Amino acid sequence: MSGNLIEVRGLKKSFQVTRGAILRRVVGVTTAVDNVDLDIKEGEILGCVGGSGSGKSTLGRLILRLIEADEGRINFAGRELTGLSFKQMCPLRREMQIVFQDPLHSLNPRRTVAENVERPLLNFGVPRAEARGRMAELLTMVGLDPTQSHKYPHEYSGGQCQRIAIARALALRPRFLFLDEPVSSLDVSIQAQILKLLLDLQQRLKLTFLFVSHDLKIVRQIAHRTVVMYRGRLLELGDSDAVYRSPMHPFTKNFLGTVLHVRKGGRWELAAQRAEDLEDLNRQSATHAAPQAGCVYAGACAERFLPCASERPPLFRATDDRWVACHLYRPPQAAQ
Amino acid sequence: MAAAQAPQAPEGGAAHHQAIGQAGRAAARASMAAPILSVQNLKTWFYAAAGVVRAVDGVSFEVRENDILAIVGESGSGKTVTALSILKLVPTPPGRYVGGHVFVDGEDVLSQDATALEAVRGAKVGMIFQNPRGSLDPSFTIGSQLVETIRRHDPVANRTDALRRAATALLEVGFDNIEHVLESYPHQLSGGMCQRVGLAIALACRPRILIADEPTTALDVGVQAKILLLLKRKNQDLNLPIIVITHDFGVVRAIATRVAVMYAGLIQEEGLVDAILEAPQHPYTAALIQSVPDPDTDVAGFSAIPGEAPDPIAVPDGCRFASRCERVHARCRIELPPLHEVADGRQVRCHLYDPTKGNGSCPET
Ligand SMILES: Nc1ncnc2c1ncn2[C@@H]1O[C@H](COP(=O)(O)OP(=O)(O)OP(=O)(O)O)[C@@H](O)[C@H]1O
Ligand SMILES: Nc1ncnc2c1ncn2[C@@H]1O[C@H](COP(=O)(O)OP(=O)(O)O)[C@@H](O)[C@H]1O
Ligand code: SF4
Ligand code: SF4
Ligand SMILES: [Mg+2]
Ligand SMILES: [Mg+2]
Repeated sequence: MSGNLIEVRGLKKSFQVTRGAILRRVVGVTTAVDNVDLDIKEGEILGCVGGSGSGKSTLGRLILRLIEADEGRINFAGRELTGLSFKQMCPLRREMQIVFQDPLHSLNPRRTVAENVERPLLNFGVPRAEARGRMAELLTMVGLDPTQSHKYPHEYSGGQCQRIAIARALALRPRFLFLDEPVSSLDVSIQAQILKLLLDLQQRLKLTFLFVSHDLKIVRQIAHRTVVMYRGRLLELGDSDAVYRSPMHPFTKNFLGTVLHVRKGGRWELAAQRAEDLEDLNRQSATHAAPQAGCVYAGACAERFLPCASERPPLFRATDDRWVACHLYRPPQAAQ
Repeated sequence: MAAAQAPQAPEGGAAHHQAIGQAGRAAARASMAAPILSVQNLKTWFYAAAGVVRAVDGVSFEVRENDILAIVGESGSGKTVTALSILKLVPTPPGRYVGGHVFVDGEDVLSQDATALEAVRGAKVGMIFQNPRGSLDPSFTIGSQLVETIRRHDPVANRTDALRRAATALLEVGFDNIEHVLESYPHQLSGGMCQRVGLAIALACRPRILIADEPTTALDVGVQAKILLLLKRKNQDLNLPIIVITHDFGVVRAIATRVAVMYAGLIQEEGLVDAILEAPQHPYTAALIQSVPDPDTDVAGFSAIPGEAPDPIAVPDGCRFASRCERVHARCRIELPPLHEVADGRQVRCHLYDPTKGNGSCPET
């Protein structure tokens, strides 16, 4: 647990949507990732939570250089990735892999499970016989029976497909895995199994994870630290348990802390059983036009005060291991 | 339980019971009307190389105006195949409709040809698919897909009309930057956005019944709330019956009026939502609800149901839950239990509820 595996500085990515084939008029610009600084420590699971469209997937894809950043730098294991050519990236791709929410997205439905898992190995020149042996090892490692690997992905359940996708992602012995909502489409009992598997693999193989989810409850169960995203920006960063139990940023408190319902001590708690509760949640999540200046959450924030509209708060150090991008946590000496 | 509370004050002091009251009343009113959807002993199997997968193996249920039926169950239990069968969308081969019927508005869907099916899909039965991006065409903008769908189902709508309806539909599912979304291609939207677009397309066709397969899995809680409210409102304002397939009891709790619990290709328990969530009777339902994680426990403390669902290729003769059931007894391994009616509209597929042996107190020999 020493040092950072990944260091991201000033990362920025905007997308344009245009209309018209000849006179391309820009109908919208989305800043999906906005000036993000982030360290991912070697051997940690860093959770990333945020609402739909907050930029979580884009952040991960930028780090893996599946898309190009507009600005900023990414350092992976001491190597600057920015500016590397496709060819120079190739050896590094082995070390960074991705797992998607929909396991079928990472698997080829027309290939057997064995072929799917062997594919990345063959692509990197591993001899066929060796790839076969490694495939069997990998499937065993994720809890599947290699003698069934002649089957096709659709013959497996969702949870099993996700195991296959994980086996495939681990084939090249990566150091870093970007997990984009890997359990969101699975049901609770299977979610738990996959989370346990991921934890176990992470510890055994000394992997580093960036684990994305829209659900703070899930992230908290697996991640050491959690970062909260909103409109492409990081709003809060800290120990996962602490962020879950005592959120500090108004966004984390009001929004991510809310759940539709919970079951505690064997009883259903009526967190949002009633229509009014839904209305309430609905109001809290209402989107407001992105402010030009000031805090990105100001439009929806109940605790907004004077500086919020004009000054964009950076991540302030609120406690020893908590960083919060909100003027409420501006340290006294930095005030005025 | 909901049925008992239903007639009580929809307004006034019991306002916080409104949702329950409405659900109960809806169920009471609905029981008079003819069902809009009736699935009768549906069997959809897959003929795979390794053997026959009995994905749906004798499923029956009815959906009436005002119903919001939640189908819950573990992954692989046959929920999606049930939904696809209603639209005759199961890939054949390897799939085959081995038995049973699906009636939509009295029409027998499974016996219809391709042209007749065109009218059923979208116009009569709207469907939101589990994989949000996969159900959109990657090479057309969201706007043109919406407009095209609206005009296909409503040929009198001109382009401007259709565009207006498309914009309204996007507004309803929680987008505010409508023009931006209309001009976007699916790959330019996040997973959650694609899921909402799918819902907008389904609703824009004004279907008679809506089937939503995991409609909120990719969504954060705020957008979830928005979508669930929208579904509830459509259900009440338009008398649009809805089937939601979900593994999230939060969704069930928030909007469903009835629940059907599936396991290994069969409905194991069906009834009103409060009755089932508060007092599950089938051992599987009880275990499933028990496995809903307490948000304060760790992964390590999760009580997943021990054991595995039976291999769908070699389903056991008796009760399909027998290998994992805490109350299994000799009869369970020999005889498949039928659905026993234990109360008004409540059915349980378990020998413990065999009326000839006394409810819930069957001697466990
Ligand atoms: N290729 C692209 N072209 C245009 N806009 C894009 C593109 N990719 C992403 N975006 C936009 O960037 C924003 C962030 O998208 P991203 O996929 O990172 O969100 P997310 O946090 O992963 O959301 P979700 O939880 O819904 O998956 C969205 O507004 C999306 O529409
Ligand atoms: N195209 C297919 N070919 C073979 N088997 C299939 C196919 N589609 C689904 N199945 C099988 O049918 C069963 C039920 O699947 P499904 O309805 O998708 O479950 P869920 O309840 O998770 O929606 C599973 O055993 C699955 O593997
Ligand atoms: S900076 Fe101001 S507007 Fe932003 S979250 Fe903090 S209090 Fe709210
Ligand atoms: S029939 Fe038997 S095995 Fe099946 S659920 Fe009931 S008690 Fe359990
Ligand atoms: Mg995403
Ligand atoms: Mg499914």
